[in-house]
Amino acid sequence: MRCYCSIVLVFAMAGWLSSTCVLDAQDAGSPVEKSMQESVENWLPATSVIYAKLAPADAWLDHPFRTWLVETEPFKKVWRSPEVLKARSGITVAEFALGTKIEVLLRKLTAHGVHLAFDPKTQGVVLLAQANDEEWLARMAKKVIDFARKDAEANGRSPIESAEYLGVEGYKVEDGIFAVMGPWLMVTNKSELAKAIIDRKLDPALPSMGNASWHTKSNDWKLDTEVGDVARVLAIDIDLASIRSAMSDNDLFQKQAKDFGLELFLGGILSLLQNAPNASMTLDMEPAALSAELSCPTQIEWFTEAREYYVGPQATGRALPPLQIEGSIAALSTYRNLSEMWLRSGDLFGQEVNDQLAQADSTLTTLFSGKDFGSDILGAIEPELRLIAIPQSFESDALSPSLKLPSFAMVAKLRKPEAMQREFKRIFQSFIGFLNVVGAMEGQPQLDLASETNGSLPIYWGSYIVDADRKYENGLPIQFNFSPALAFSGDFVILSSTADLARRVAESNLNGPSEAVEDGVSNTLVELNVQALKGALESNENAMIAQNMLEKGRTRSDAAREIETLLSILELMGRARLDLSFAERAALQLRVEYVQP
Amino acid sequence: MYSLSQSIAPSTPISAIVPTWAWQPWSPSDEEPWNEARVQLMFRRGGFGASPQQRREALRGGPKVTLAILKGEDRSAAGRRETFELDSEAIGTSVRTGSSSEGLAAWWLHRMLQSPSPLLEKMTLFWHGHFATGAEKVMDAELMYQQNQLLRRHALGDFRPMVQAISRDPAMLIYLDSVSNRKAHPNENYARELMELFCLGEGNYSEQDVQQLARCFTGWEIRRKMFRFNPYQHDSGLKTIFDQADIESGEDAIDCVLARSAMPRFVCTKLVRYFVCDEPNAPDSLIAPLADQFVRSGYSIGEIVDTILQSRWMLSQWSVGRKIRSPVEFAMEWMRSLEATTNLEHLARMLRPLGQAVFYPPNVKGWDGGRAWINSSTLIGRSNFVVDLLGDPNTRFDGKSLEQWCSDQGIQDHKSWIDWLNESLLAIPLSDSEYQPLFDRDNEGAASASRANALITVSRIPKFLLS
Repeated sequence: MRCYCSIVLVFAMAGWLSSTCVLDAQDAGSPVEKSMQESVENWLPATSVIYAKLAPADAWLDHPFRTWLVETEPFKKVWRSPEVLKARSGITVAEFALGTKIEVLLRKLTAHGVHLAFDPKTQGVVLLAQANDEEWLARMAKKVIDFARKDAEANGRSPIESAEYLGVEGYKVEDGIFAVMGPWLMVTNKSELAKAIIDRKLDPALPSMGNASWHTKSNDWKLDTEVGDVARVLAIDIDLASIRSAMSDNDLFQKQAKDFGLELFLGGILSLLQNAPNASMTLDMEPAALSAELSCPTQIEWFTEAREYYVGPQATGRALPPLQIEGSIAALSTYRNLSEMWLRSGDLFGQEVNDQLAQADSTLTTLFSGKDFGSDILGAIEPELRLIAIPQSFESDALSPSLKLPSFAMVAKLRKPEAMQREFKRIFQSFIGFLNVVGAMEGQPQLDLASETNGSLPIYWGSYIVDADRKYENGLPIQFNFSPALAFSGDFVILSSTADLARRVAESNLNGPSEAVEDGVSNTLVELNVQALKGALESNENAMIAQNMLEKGRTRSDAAREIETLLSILELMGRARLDLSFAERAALQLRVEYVQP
Repeated sequence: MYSLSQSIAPSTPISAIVPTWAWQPWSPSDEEPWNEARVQLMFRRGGFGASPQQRREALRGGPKVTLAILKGEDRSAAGRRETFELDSEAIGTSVRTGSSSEGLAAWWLHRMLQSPSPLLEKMTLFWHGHFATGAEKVMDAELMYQQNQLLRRHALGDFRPMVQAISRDPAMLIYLDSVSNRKAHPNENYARELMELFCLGEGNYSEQDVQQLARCFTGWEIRRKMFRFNPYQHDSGLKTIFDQADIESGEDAIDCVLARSAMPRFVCTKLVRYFVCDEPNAPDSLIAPLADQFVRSGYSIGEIVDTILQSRWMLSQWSVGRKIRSPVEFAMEWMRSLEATTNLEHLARMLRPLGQAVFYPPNVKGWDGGRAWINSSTLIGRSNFVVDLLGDPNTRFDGKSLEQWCSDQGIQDHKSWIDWLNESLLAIPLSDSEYQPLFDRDNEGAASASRANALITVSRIPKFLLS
């Protein structure tokens, strides 16, 4: 009984949470509805820092995405799995108890969308939903309460408490409080928050989130966007300034980063987090894709001089078009002035990181034959960097490494091509020698250095030699994934994990139709081919299964089933694209296409 | 709770135990029936505990069937062995690719938990402590893996080929500095430990024997992770060891050491300590019949282990609670009894503060064992271990929650759960003063919390340390 009651409550709440979103255009467009939306924002206390709107269930239950999803084989497989079957039996019990199908319940409860908010003052989270039928909502609420009461009684738990506040009756079921106010259902975890909302509902003159400056300023995130088949299912508004002041000790808000990788990947975003008053997030459902955007206002002066390496002078740093090579898993193009970053490390990082960088600088300078790593080596390349990863094929199983890694390459433009090509070639030869010396000390395979000139494209590489005296019972060592290569194509230098990829990159059109994305504002672009990624993962399926067995202590068959499910989910996705830009409004956009049948 | 034979009282001094009686095979009688307590004793000593299903089979079948289960020679093991070896190989390949000794520990714990031949893993653990080699010095997961497989291959075989093989093992050569044992500067480390720790024991050799033996091993090197004999670094002159003057090679020298009368006594004493009682040491008179059998069998380890595990002495009430569970035994018995699975890498990490990280013995002597397992730090560690394990979301019991597992075992209420724990996890049953508080403390709350709390409490009772 207790379990069933929890299922009913959890399901109802999860349904609202997952169902979402906001406003279908017809409802949102009406003046009456507009005023209702506004009033909800006016009910929330001014101390609220996160506010989200979820679309009515109709918006996604009737969307082509759902129709497509439920017909896919991976979905059907998951739907029939023991875990889901168990949950489905719980749903059936919930439907029986409520006397209605869950889908009908979701559609009715979320007919005008769902509103969610977090108020740090009370540590309360609230959910507000407006049903389209006041009487129906009252009947459902009564059924849930009756069910919860009987369940508590049967299991000897404390009875369901009820209390009245300014004419609104609220109920406490386990850790949740819920109340019905006309057509509105309110669910929260804190009674103080419930009272604050009731106060504002009755007295609109009280200060509320609706007239908080961060919220009014951020109203350019539209809640009523529905263009053609594109449905906005989720919109979130965040009071970044308040969160920043409450979490001032957090690493994300420090002027100097404590982590090199964090700065390299997120440096520009950190500047925004440290200055922007608010941020917004939206999630849209398109007929063939899901897209999400995280955005916030931006001003050039927010980027300190030290972060120029990330966004370029006056935030004009732009990524080149990503490399296009057939069958690639991922391509990344970005603007990062690595030399500037290295030389400005004193401003960017704390003492600990700077100590490590000083040590690394000394080692790398030795490795690069006395050339200063920051200014001579990193300074030899332009800040527009491009990376690509493609799957590898091996001649036979006997000549395959036990773990098969994709090959990857980085392309950059040389500032002084003629002088630097010679330097890079010499450094590369020293590097191969260094690897051989270190490898020999540890009994690792050795590299054989080779070179060729493909037309006017010189390529230098090292390939690992199979030791005829040695038995490779479990496949070749991981090193055989690599044949480190250096190639030149025009003014570009290519560093690749394999000679084959170096050749393919060198032969591709590195200059492209134009040197920058036309009218582009992107700082970083990532393109991912999920099917190619799936192929690369499948070639290492045994290793993934073994890792799952280690991490979860599972049997091989259970681990294999989980990996198969993961790969099945990837089967649903086509291409994905991530785009980071710092234009008038900084935005991080993610778009994932799904594979149409 | 079940009781064992009272044919020798638990208080009988070890010196009063009659050798001819001790090593006779135990057989059931009206006074001494084959019962649940003996089943569990045999599984604890010869393996790492057993699942309820295995215990039921053993109870039906008697000691011979129980030994067959421990050796993986029962009918049900045949079907599981192939799947298990495939699983183990997949994990082994994965961790060796990552070259992680911690991953290697996880691989071995998987074998201890899931092997259809737990006695083989128990003996591999014994030899790992005997021929102790530490990954922190070897610094090569592949070599540690190879050594572990070598120990497993010979674990229940003959002692002579085992010693010959371990003397050429690359991990051992690195650990005991044989790689720097050259004609001009013989390194005595391996020679000394071969006699003192591996074969004869202290007082059974002289310094001159060590020096002569070290000369025999000169030129035993490793190249590209494999043994290599370098004749240019080998002292090919004749050496005199134990008054035998015609020894030239390392192989001959090992045979000379193995032929000493102290060797069978030394090895059998260690095996008795491992399987029967931590202390006091068995007197020579009690070891002598085993040592004779060891010589007669051509140094067959398997024969001696069979004799010990089926013996009257080991299956008597006297030997119950005479051993302190090592951290690995503590963890594995707990998990195998409850059919538990968890994150194996995390499990390997959790064993470190308990004082027994496999592949990382404290020194060349291995783990001291016995009372040395227990100090204030390791006691807290054992307590935290159970709490951590139950708190890990990856911990499942035959793939289920603890509550569901109990339900499937027919354990419906708190009392039946406490009784099950008392009978299944403890070598010595709880006294009334230990039993009663379990009801005061754990009778409240949801079933899942109550099951876990009771399990934690029982695992903290001092008696749980005993095997």
